[in-house]
Amino acid sequence: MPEPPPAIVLVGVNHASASLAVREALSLSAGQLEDLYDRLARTEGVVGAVVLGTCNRVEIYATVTTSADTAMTQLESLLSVVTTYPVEPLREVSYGATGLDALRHLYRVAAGLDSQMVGETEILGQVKASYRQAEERKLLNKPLHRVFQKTFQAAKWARTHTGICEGQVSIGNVAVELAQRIFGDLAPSKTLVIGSGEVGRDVAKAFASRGVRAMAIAGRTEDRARALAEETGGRIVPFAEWPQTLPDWDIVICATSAQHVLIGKDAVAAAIRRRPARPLFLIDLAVPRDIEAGSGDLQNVYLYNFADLAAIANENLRHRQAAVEACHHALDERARSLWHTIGPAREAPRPAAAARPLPGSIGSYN
Amino acid sequence: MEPDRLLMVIGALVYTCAAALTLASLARRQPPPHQVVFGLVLIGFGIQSTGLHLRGVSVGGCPIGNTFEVLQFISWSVILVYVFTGAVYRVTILGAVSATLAAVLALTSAAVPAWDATRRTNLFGGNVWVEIHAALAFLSYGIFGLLAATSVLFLLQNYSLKKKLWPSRLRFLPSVVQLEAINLRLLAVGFAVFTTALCIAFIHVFAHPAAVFPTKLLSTVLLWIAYGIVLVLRMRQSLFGRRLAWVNAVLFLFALVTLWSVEASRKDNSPEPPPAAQAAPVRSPGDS
Repeated sequence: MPEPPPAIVLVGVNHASASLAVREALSLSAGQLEDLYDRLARTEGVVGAVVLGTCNRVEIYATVTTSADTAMTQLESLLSVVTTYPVEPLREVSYGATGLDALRHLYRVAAGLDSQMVGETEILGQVKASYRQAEERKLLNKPLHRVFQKTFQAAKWARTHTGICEGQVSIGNVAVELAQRIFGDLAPSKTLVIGSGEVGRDVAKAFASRGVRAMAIAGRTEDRARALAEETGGRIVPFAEWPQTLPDWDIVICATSAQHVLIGKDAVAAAIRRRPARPLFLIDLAVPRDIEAGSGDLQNVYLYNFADLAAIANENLRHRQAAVEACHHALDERARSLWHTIGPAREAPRPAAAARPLPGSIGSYN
Repeated sequence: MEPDRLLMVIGALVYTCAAALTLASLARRQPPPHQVVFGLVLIGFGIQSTGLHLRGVSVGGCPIGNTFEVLQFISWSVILVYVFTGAVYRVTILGAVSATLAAVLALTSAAVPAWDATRRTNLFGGNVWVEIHAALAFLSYGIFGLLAATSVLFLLQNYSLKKKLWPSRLRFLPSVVQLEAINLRLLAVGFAVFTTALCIAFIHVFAHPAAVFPTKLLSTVLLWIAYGIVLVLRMRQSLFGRRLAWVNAVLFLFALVTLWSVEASRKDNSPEPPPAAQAAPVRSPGDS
């Protein structure tokens, strides 16, 4: 009798299952991601794995030859070791799924239905980037390859054929709208972008498209900062010098991958003292956060982080809930269809570990 | 109902329509129809002005001789300020706010018939300076009233931004920076008009000290000092934003209270109107 094919297993933590502080502790730096892939490659029973790490989630999709229950425990332990986050608290906030349930979850994630800002499209690019990383590390076996290819197709279909993206409000547009509530006309506003990562770049481009004339980019990676400056018509501020210029800016967008606070409350207070009657809009898109949370308590300082912007965007999307529901059902059908071709007889028995349910935001799959 | 009073009440109802139209639009999460609101405000302003004019003709001067007339005049002043500043600021919601404030003041004035029971004719004794002083003083009250209203808008916008609320009905509010600029200009213009009214009054005081109500003098000067301090602090950037908005709102309440004190002191102490061309105790904010 031939050996059964590997089962698909998912373990993860996201914005619905864990607080921002926990997600900050579990967010993977480049080095940690590399370490995690190394450990996955060496783990017995794991034949393929894709790690999806974004601002709001860390998920491991793996194909395993061991029992799903054992595999989930192993994956959680690996995540705990790599992030130095204790395994027991991790288990309290993590979720797991196998087989068709894992597949449905992946479809929803890629389509943006499980995002903090429902319907956002950046997540598909992040899933694709994770897929490529796994491929480069030779951890993308045939079943995972097929699952992810079908996932990309389903996500594109959802964006094109359902209403989940109608009136879509990206993080950048939400930030721009907030800035307009503070400043009105944005053209004279001076904007500083710290960090040149993907999210920061999208927001900076949104501001540039609304006519912000005075924009500057401060990034550790000079090439990326220069590219963003060219895209937005901004200028470069050396990374070491931006703290001295803080009082000069009306809008400060932080999106670095720093593991510590870049702008403390004292620095914000000092900046606002030099321009007391002019509001200061701080946008913190980084996880872990770049700006000390208490800064928003200061008069004339408005501080929004990624979760705040996402919440506003979701409020805007509330009226499209019917479309989202329809998309859920359609994606579930597609996932089931795929599962019939790759694993009806192969699905591992539902393990005890899967009793830790998937977070409420994505609801029941049944 | 007499034609002048009827016209003033109709004017108030038209303002109410403009305010209701705005609220209905906001309830449907749609932008207020600026041109329709502005048109209604202009119609109401025309009707109210006609009513005030008829009343002025019948009492022989600026119609501010009883509580009904005073509230109507302040209501008219609010709209006058809006008509001349609304186009400058290009802020849609300001028309609705002005209309609401004017409607509240005007309808309140009409709600108590007793406030219009006594009419004082030849109130200013033919002294044109006293009449100008009184008119300017009430005009400054109108400006401060509008300032209080825009300050409340500032507080609403600031609160929703600070608390990260996203009420779609508030998305038509002017921005924080716009409201701060509007408030500063209204404060400066209101203070300038109030100061002019007081200067005229003090000339009148020095000429006729017996015609002064001490309580009124004290409360008016205190109010003037308070607005002066607020303006200086704002110019020095020591008072701004949320705190300035609260101060503006509270000061206007204090201004309304001083109006009541004037009314009380006038009822208790007002002598018979003096003969023409003589100074008379005038029931107005800046009168002393």
